[in-house]
Parts: sequence; structure tokens; C-alpha cells
Amino acid sequence: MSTPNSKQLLVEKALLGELPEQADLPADAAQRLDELRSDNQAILDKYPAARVAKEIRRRHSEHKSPERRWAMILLPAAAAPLVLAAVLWGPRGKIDSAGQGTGGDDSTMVGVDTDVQLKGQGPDLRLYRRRDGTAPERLSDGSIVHPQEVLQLAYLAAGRGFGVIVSVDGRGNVELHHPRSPDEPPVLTRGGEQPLLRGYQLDDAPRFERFFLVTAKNPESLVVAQVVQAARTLASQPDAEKAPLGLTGPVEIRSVTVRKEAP
Amino acid sequence: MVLRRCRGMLRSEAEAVDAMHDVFVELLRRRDSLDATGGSSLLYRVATNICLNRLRSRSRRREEPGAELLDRIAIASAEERSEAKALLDRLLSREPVSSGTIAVLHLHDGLTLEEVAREVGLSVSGVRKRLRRLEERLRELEAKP
Repeated sequence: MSTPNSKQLLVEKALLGELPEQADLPADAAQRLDELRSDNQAILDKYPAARVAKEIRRRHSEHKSPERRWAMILLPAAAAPLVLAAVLWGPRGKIDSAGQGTGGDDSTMVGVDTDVQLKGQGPDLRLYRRRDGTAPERLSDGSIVHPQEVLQLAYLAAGRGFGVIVSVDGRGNVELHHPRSPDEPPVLTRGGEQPLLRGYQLDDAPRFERFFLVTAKNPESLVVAQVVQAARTLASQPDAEKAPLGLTGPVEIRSVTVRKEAP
Repeated sequence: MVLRRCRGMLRSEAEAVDAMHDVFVELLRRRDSLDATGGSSLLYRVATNICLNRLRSRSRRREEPGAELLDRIAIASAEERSEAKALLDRLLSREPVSSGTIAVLHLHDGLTLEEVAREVGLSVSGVRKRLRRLEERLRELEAKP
């Protein structure tokens, strides 16, 4: 078997000096090594090592202490209590307790950005728009977004131990955001707002992106594959933008829908 | 090298750069358990795993021409429950590498079975066995209505 990739790793190793002298390099190794050197330089020019290292350290630090980043973002707002109240205490949406037959009119609920939960406050799903060099912008239900923008998802467990975050888009695609795969346990981290480790770049799917947080107090109440399947069923419907996520059982559902516009 | 690998698998510059950062974050997180030898192989495999995870979670990627094989590998390897628990944990602690990575190296990158075996520290028959299981899972998945 031979493909353009077939000796790529070998040549990469040669470039790094990890191969013995007698290694069986491809005939065009010299040319490919030159190309890799040029590509390395182009990469370093485009993504300077110091900047990449800074971003890696930031993500590593964020992973160790996910709430730290959000605390820093919110500090300036904390200096102006009235602004803080206006920004953080948004419209409170309904809880779709599927097990209680409320009909599943799920909507977004905005809580408070603090580790101290208000009495009666439920789980929450939050979206932020990330932009280089600026603080993330909190999005609300109905916010306008554009292809290629990067969203940061975050949740507030509010005492629920288990949760799944999925999204559907206007093209009928379904994406699982938390946990990372259907085989992983859908454990939520408690103790304030928890951003997911990585951002989510929007593609050019039309009309909308709709995000769901499905939470439960007990693990047996929440099967990731069932949530994904429910999302797929919803995504195939013409009213996926508004229809409820058809789940039964003692789960709570929040959703946030953002509108897609061409850039 | 890492960025080139991510670009080749994800076919999106922004996502490749994002994945590249994640590769090094994973290495930082596991630095205490890393073996310093064979650095490029480790980087290559971690990058492959992270890209597979991303492909797995993006059904939309299936629409991209030329990416279908990687998608199928990503999805089939997710069905392997024993591996899905902690692919990177196992990879970085030098336990057997994931079947998904083996499949990418062989089917996408075109490495021979011998080269793959050398790269991942398995016997050729071990690699063949893993690939056979993955192919079976692929067939099962494709047979599903």
C-alpha cells in the first residue's frame, strides 16, 4: 500500500533526527525534508511559538481550574453592581421536567455567576462568543451568530450530578458536547459555572444552532445515547428550532437557540 | 508536525490549530507519566487520537469529500467500549494504542502492517487482529438500518 502519506511519519522523524543513519528513507526524502523545513518556518511565522505556548498554558490552567477563567472575565462587571445585576439576572425560563409532563416547552434560563446558588435556582446552560483579544460575550436565546465564530459553552450543575449537552443545527446535524463521547459517563462538575474544555466553531449550517442541557440527579435517569437519539429525532423535524426534545423520565432540559446569519 | 497531522485529518485550519493546542495540553496534563523516548511517535499518536475524537463528534464532517474513511474509523472506534473509556490515558501510559489510531495509520496514512506494528508497539498479528475487529464493527454499523 502506498499513499502520499505513507512515508510522512518517517520523514518527520528524519527531520527531528530520530532515525538511525541507515534508515530506509523514500527516494524523494531530500525534497520532502526541504518542504517540511519550509512548512515549519511558515507555521512558526503564522503561529509564533510564544503565542502558541501562551495559549497552551492558558488552556492547561483552565483545565485545572475551569472556573478561574470565568471569574476573571466577570471581575470587571463585579465592580459595577447595577450592570452586574442587569447582565447576569436575565429572563428566567421554564423547566421542562419531562417526568412531570409539563409539555417540554424548554427555554433558556439565566442564573447568577457565582458558586453560591440562589434558593430554587436550577441547572443552566450558557453560551459565550469568543473573540481574540476581547472578553467573551454572553449570548442569550435568539442572539445572532455567524459561521466560523467560536462559541464557548458552559453549564451550572445546580446540584445535579449528571448532564448531557447536545446541539442540533439547521442542517439536521447533531453534535454531542458533553460528555465527549456517548461511552463516557455524563458527570457534571459542581461548584459554579463550568466551561467546557474546548470552544465550538460554528459551520455554515443555516438558520439556527440549538443547544440543550439535559440534567438528572441520578445516573440511571440519564443515558447519553438516548439524549443523542432524541436530538437526532428532533433534528429531522421541520420545526426542530422550536419543538421540544422528546425525552421522558426525571430529567430537566434547558435550551438556548441562536440565530444564524451569513457573515 | 503536530499541526500538519491535524490539518491532514481535520481539513480545517481553525480546527487544526485548536486541536494542536489540545495535543500539547494533554501532554502537559500527563507529563509525569510520559516516556521521553520516541517523542515524534507519541505526538503523532496523541494528535491522531484527538483528531479522531473531534471527527467522531462532528457528524457534519461526513459531508466533506475525502474525509469519509476517517469518519468511519472514528465512529467505529467509538463503538469499542473498552477503548472509549480513556483513550489518551491508555495511550500515554503505554498501554495498547487504540484501534482507531491503528486504522488511521494503516488505512489513511498507508503504513504497512509491519510499520504500524513498529509504530504502536504491537505484533503484526496484533495489529491485524485489531483491524479485523474494527472492520467487523464497521460492517455492523453499516448494516444497521
